[in-house]
Amino acid sequence: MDTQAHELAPDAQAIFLLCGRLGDNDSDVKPLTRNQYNEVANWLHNNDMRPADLLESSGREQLSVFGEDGKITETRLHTLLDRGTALAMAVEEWTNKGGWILTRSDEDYPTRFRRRLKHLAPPVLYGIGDQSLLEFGGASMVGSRDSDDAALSFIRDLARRCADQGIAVVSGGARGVDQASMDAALESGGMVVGALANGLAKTARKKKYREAITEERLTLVSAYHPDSGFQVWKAMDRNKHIYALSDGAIVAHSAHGSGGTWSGATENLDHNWVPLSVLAEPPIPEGNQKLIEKGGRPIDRRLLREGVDLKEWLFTKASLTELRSSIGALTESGETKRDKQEAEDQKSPSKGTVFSIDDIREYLREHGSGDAELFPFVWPVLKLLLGETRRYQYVKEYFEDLRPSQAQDWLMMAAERGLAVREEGPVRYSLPQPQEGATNSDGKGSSEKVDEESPSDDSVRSNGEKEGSEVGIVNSSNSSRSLFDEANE
Amino acid sequence: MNIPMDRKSKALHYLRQALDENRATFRDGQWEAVRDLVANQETLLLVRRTGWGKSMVYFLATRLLRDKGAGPTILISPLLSLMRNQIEAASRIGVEAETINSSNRDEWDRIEREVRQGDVDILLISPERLSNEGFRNRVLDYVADRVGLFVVDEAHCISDWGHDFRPDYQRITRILQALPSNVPALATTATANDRVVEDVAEQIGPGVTVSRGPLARSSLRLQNVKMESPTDRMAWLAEHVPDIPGSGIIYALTVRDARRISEWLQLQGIDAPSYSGRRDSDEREALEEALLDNDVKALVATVALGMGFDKPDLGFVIHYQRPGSVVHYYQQVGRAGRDGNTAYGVLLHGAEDDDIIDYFIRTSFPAEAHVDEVLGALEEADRGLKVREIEKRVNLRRGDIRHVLKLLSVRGRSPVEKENKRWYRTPVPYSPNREKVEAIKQLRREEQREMQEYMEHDECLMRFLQRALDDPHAEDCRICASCVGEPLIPESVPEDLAIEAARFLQRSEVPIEPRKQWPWTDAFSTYGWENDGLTMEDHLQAEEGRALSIWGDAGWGQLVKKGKYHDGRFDDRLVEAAKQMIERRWGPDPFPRWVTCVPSNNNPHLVPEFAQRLAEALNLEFIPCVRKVAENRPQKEMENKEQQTRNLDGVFDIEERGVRDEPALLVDDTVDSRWTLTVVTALLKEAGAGPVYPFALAKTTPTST
Repeated sequence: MDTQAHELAPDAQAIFLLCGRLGDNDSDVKPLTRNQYNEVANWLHNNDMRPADLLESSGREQLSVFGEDGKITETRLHTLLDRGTALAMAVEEWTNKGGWILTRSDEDYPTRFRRRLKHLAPPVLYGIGDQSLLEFGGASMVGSRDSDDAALSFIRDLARRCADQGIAVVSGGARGVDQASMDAALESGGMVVGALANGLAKTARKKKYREAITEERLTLVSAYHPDSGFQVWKAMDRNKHIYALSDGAIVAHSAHGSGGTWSGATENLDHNWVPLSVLAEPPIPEGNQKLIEKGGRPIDRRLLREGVDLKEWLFTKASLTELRSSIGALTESGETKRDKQEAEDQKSPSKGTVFSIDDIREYLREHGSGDAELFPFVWPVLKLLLGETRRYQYVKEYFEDLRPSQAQDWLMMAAERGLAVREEGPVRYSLPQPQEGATNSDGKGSSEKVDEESPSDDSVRSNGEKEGSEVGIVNSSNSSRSLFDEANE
Repeated sequence: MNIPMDRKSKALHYLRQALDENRATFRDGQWEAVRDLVANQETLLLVRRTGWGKSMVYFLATRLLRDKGAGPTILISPLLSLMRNQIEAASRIGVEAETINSSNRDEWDRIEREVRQGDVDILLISPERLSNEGFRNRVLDYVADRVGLFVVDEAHCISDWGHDFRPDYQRITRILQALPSNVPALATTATANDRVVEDVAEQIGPGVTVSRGPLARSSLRLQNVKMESPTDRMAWLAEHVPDIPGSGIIYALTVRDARRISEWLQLQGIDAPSYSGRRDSDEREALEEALLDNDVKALVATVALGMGFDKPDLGFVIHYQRPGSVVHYYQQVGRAGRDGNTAYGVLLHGAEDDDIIDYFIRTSFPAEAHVDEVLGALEEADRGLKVREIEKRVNLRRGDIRHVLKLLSVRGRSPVEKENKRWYRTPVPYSPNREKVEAIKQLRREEQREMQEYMEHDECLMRFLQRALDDPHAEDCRICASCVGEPLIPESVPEDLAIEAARFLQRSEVPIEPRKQWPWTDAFSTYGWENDGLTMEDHLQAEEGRALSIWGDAGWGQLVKKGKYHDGRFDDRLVEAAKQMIERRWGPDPFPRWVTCVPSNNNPHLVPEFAQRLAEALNLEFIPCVRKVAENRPQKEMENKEQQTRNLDGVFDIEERGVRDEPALLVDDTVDSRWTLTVVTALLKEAGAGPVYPFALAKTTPTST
């Protein structure tokens, strides 16, 4: 190898000098925050400069335009750029332990960060393990620290299934759901990406993780110094890294309105980064319920059934076109069962009759099936109800004793299986039109069009302003685009 | 780049001020080096002879950079401090240098304060400090955030092909490589052949500029003197050193030899203290000063005296043994005669040279099995292990464990890391670099052969050395013993002096200091001694003892080795020598009234039989009351404290009715860790013995076994 991990490219050196936490932590001069760096990057771009130009005296002279007012002063920038020796020592120290450092200018910087997070992408990323795992995507799994046993057990099973199906698990390394998902996937021989908020160095040397890293099945990344301790803001900030590195997220357990899981999941919904699935096994926690109402898709143990192609379920949204293949997969592998069920359907309560769930349960008990098998029996009823566009409350009221989530669950199932179409604002369901493909492509049938490559400029910009109160220079949509492609353009 | 004239004249002004000489001018290449650093932020490798003025380059560069508002210079150097004259020169241009190292911890606070106040212009730190966690946090972080110039002294240590490779320089190399282009960097060295210069330049990276000048020409007169026996060489030194003008250095390969030669010369009225890395830094500095000021005739030194030591009027350099390579030899002998006045370089060499060099080559890299054992222990320890805890798990010497950890930890991607004195396994896979290790060992053997050729060389000696160092201008010196055609200094040794030297060597008994601490609270649990506080109770401790010789050494050591491994019986001369030593020189008081010995299962008669004869010679009763009640592995195979103590727990027992309440002499053949003698002494004393004096025929050391 020509260049080694400790030899950063000049652009990366400059970014690391400006943003990296290096030696002296008591220093008055703090490294630039992400938003502050975005400003500098904008300025560089507008002046046809690259970060590396700041290592040359001609480039340094340009910094005088920053003056001495405000947070990003000329003096501060010079002081940060003078930390060359500290940079060399810090990079050497971390790479000596097996790690690497990527900055937004590096070609190997994770594509998913660049594309999805854009100016929210961390300027500096520490990591250890095979970098290519970061391009692998996967299923992110999150949940609050006080997740109950059911949630933990679900997430472990799901992680194992992901491992079996070659889907990487992405999580945050925190206690509870995070660790449960990562450990279960690793134990099953799967691949895992951990996006940590703190303690990267210590985590990496734990036996279970160390060995997986050596086997190139685990990659840990963190936007924060490898020795940094836990801080709430980092944990909050880190959530977006988990979502962004995955192709679909699963919330196992969330509080409502507060906590890291809630804020991470709603942030993901707001930015439309990846499809969000929410565990909806009763009793459904309030947070989960609200996330579903905000657009999360309920899931339960049925996902773990044999033959379910998790990629199709987790990484796509409930649009008909995209679910074709998954329906196919389901049908194919569950064929005999399904045939049987359809035969049973003949004996089920007659169509069009109002009946209670208890009736169904009783019926099922007699026929020796569990709760999980309920949907096929309910569907004929739902199908009738969905002759018109309905909200789930209607369905709930139709059945005498149904939990709200149960109705929602079934409707979601119907949508996921392509049997019904889900529309938003307010959420409502109907039977699909015959030419559903056309409906989808012109955006009328479903507002959930998958377009990760270009979330609307509006959402990006508004969030940027919300996040960084200190942003002074306005991100025109033109210049904000440039921030994330320093290496590629 | 267009350099304004005023910068050069400013630099010249500073140069004259620093040298305190109004007409001083730059040496060839000196100003260019300063300019490249200050104006162009270059990375520079400066290969110049000692005395050329390499330090002046970074003094001037520091001054000019500081004038521009840059932060202090960091100087990585294995030296303890700058030479006094260098400090003075720097301070004349307002460049204040401070040293920070493990020996001046009490000054760190002050220095740190001064650094923060901007009062320190050059901070000198050792390569080892650079990777020390506590030091980094406390002192270095502040400086590292604003270093204006990064200097690496003795840069030849970077090359692992080089003669002077230091593991910590690998880390420094990577830091040099990782430096962004806005930090100027300077690497300097005085001694380097083509291969080493190329290797160093390549490792520093593609951006490096090499500035190289000719080797030193000196008025050094070389001579080789072959004397197999150490007694002859000791006698030669005593006879001829006083006649050589000026003061000088006598190099020995081992610390033990340096001490012994020094002791011998002092006995002969020659003021020649010993100097080695074992002495603390204050002592070493004082000794260097004494030599600089000609207050001593010579220092008897290991290679620890060397780098950075510059005494232009050094009168002679004598080697008691042959160094491992021509590069080593030239570097050491080249310290004499730098001022152009006649000086002597004499290579004495003897029979033991190759054994010692072989040992150094063999142990320069840890055995792969050692690495595997250490890594294996760490792999199972999620919370990391202190070195002592590793000792519990693997049967390796503490020194070997440290050596393994050091060499692993300086790798670019290291399989181990250290935090708060604990070592951890990292996720970096380990693969031994067998080819490279073998290639380096092979190179070392070639260097050894080249040095053997030099010894036998009958043409110009200086030319031989210069040719070996890739000097294109090598020519006959006309002043060495070969060129002159006769010895410069007589090779004769007066017989009476040789006999005296032989006696001296036979009197080189060494004390056996009693152990006063238990290693850990749970050691020797079978015996149930109270060792909670680790301090050994007084009534269990031994008295100070004696070992008659050093294993395998000139003097009696050879005879002990022969007795144990060849004859199966210790020679009567050893009985006589021991008797004389005990009675005439040692004279324990109160004198022992009975003799006992340490039993062995391997060789049940060797020691008791000797002890009996010694008892007879001393006119004392021999009572073999110590028994071995359990099989154990040979104690000499136990490589560290943990293994040594565990191997002895419950192994000995005392026949109490044999024990006398009177002073006893406890005899064993060899002593190393002293745990056997410690345990047997404690058992004897528990059984009612009086004071116990340990005696061994030889003390073993790592190099001797």
